[in-house]
Amino acid sequence: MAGFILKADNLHKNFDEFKAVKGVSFEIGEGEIYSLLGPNGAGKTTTISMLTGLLSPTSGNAYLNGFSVREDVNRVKEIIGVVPQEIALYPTISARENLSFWGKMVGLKGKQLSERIDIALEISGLADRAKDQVETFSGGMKRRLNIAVGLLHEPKIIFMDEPTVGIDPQSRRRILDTVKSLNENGMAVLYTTHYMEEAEELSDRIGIIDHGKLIAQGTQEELTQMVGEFDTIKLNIGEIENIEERAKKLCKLPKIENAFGENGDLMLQARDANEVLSEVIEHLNNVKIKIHSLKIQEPNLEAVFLHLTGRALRD
Amino acid sequence: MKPWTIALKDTLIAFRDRNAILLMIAAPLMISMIMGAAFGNMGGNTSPISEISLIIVNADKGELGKNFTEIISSIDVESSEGIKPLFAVEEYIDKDEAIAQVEIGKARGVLYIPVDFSTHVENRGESVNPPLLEVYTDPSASISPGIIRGVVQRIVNGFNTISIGNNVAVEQIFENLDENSAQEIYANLENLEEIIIAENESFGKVEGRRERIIITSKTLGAGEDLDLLGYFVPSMSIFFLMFAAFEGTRSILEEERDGTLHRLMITPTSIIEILLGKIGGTFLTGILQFVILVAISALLFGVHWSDSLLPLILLTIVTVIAVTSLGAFLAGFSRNANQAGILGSTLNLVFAILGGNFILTTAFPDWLTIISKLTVNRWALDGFSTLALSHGTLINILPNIAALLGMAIFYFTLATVLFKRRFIK
Repeated sequence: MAGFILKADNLHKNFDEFKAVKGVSFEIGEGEIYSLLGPNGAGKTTTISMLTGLLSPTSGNAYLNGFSVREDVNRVKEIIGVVPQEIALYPTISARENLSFWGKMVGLKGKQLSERIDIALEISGLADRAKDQVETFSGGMKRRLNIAVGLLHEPKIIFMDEPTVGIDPQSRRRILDTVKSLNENGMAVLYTTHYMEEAEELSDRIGIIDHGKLIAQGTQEELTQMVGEFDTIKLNIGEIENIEERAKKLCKLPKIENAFGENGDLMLQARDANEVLSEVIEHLNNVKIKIHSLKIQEPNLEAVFLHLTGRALRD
Repeated sequence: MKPWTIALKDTLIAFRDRNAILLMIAAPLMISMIMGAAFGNMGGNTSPISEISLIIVNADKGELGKNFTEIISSIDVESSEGIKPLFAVEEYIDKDEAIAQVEIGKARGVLYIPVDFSTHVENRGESVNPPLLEVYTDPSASISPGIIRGVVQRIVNGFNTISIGNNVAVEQIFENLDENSAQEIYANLENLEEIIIAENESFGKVEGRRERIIITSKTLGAGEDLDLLGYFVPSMSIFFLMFAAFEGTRSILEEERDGTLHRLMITPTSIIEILLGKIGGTFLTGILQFVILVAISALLFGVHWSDSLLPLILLTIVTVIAVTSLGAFLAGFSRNANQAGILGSTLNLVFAILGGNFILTTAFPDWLTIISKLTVNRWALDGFSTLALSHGTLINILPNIAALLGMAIFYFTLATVLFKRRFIK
């Protein structure tokens, strides 16, 4: 396991009959940012819960810095930092009191605790609001403090579970910059998101997860090669009946490689979007379907997800 | 160390919450005061007292009965609102009707002056049967009966000691009263306590056997001078302690809902440490709540909690432990924080009624008394009542301490099993 800070080996998690995670395996190298990209309910949080010792795997194992999440869970907890999806803070006490409490819970005390609190407040940009109750903070500020708590004890790897959900663009930007900055200082990051752009911007490697299965992983280049040279034409035609049927008919047009339809959008894949565009528009005109908007995308992670699952990567 | 950190955090959060303070401290005191006032026992021994409602039934045909009434009506006291009459005197003709007014709480006492009062006094005590002044007082009051009896006794002393001739001068009585007068005594409230103690000690004895006038005193109803604040303050303190404790242990489920519990579980802290911390926080909050309630009620309302500190401390500790453990069991049993809230409120009310927080358990039938003893409230309240009202000692409350400790162990064991099952997946 040399060189890997994390190795997940065929992790499974069942909740009664429901199989939430089905054989997930991946590794994260020291100082690497690895993103788990997938829609809501794909199994990202369950996977993180197993890696952090919160849930015991039904089968399989994972090792962090060589310690098993099954046998050495307390050692695992000492080297990891976790930023949960929800804002897990105490709203009626101050930011400093929150940091102090969480710092003590990870074993910090005295001068070291005080210093680490100051650093965490600096990183989160909340030094001037340290004495204010958390309930007076904006959503973005709470998110930043939520991250700061996870960084207090300088973990070797930090797990960030959708840390930018529901915040303003400015706070999101700040969080993404913080993640990059942490990584530059050698911290490995496991980042889960359903925002393709975040995964693209941050990650050294990306794993695409859907229905509890890791369906693809690699660098962004490796993943986009999976869809070859295909462009994606995204047409919004509004809610119509049998959009899937319409997509199937469009798929029969020459040079259209793949076509999917859902939620008012038609997504077509072709080697050159410009070559097929006129025929697509003509086809839709003939059946009196009005096009509300049209977008051509070069190969990206969304196209990869579409290619692999037949569905768009949505919130 | 980590349980202590969690407990301190929870205590800090509890005492930062204004609503919680209202529930924990203000509400029990306010409700106790209201209940105390409703049942006629407000104020401590050093509070200024005035306008005690007293009914005089003057059946005397002569002047002395009238004089007696005038003297009582003319006694003034200094209060924060200026000089006020000590008694708000009403005169009734029918003795039974007057007594009925006391029984329904509309008056604190009745003074009955018999038909032949003047005749007997003016006959210099030569009569075979001296006149019998009758005093009836409110059973639910602890201070005003003593005052009424004390003042009547002093006026009677005046009648008895002055050499009364056929022409008794009211002025003479006043002059004599100047030395011993109630006016003087009540203006100086430091003496009030002594007077009331003396009166209570002599209460029930037929006095003045060799005097011209005999006073007989009777407390209406149960014949027991129950200190209602001494009962209701501990009672409401237990009731609201349960609210606060249930709220405290419910916070385990709130933390589960808000994600902080999972975050705690991701730190290198065992679930047992987390539970000990959460329950410890509720315990610490409960102890502080109770100590504050004891201190405030003793200082402001003169509530007497116990003759000595040790039994009070021990009983407080085991009560808080038992209530906290019950709350933890309830939280472990509930599916979520909302359910725990509903179950907690319901159980608290049922236990409070069964345990005697609202209704005296002496009124319970046998079967209800047995059920009542299954509640934490009953054992705790009996214990505090023993200390406060019966001047009990540690030995007297040992069964209560043992029962509460047993309940605490039982509930805590159940809570641990339920929480382990819930959180270790």
